[in-house]
Amino acid sequence: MAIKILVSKPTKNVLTATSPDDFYLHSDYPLLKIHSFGTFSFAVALESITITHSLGYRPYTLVFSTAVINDAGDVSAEMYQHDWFVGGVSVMWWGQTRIYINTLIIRVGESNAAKGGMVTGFYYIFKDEVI
Amino acid sequence: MAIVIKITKPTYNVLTETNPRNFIFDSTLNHLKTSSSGSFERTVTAGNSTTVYTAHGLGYKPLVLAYFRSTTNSNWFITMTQIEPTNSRRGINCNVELYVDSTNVYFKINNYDASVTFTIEVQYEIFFEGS
Repeated sequence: MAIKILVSKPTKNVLTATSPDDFYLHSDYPLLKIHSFGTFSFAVALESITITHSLGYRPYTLVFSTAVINDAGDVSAEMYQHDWFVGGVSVMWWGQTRIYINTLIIRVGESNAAKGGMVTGFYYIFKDEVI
Repeated sequence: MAIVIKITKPTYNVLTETNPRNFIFDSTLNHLKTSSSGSFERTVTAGNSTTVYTAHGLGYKPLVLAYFRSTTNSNWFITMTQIEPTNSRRGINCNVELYVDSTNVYFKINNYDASVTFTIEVQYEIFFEGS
């Protein structure tokens, strides 16, 4: 008999629950394992920042950051889920995360921005691979 | 000696395995922990948008994952910040943007269609991890 480790949520019977959503931990279902996390900031003028993870493969990654919101290079108060790209008639703006085998390149910008602001954000890199 | 809990995937030896991708659970690594989750539906008339927000109570900007669908079909899409109307999601001319601040999680539902009213269902998970 296979041995399992199960931790159910409150009110759920660990011996009889069947939905994976009823468990905090269920050894049949792998959890995302955090490799590293952190915050970043860079001047709009620089347009990007490189984060090194050194995993040797493309990991699952989640990134949120402020967005460049006008031609002056000002940034939003809120942090937006990556990615976005909008190409207007005369201006483009973007927030993109490119995942490489040993790095992430996080890009945020706006084509007409006066590049005066600072982009801030946070990222989570997981041990789990994008396949 | 520190006590650890490790669960490997089937066929891997928990005593000798070193590749973190081959573990279901590893107590030496952090995992995403859910702070709250929920769902809602909103009807958005043609060409309009609406923003729904929920207070997360964390006092910092949390990591969030969310998915959405039109209630007329079963195709779920991951939220995506700002996408051009001409590039909107396959089968539905609608998008949900996700962004956060230290107080709320925001879901901006954009109906790009000129003639169709959509009822959009959103499901989300807010994690303790964030910045």
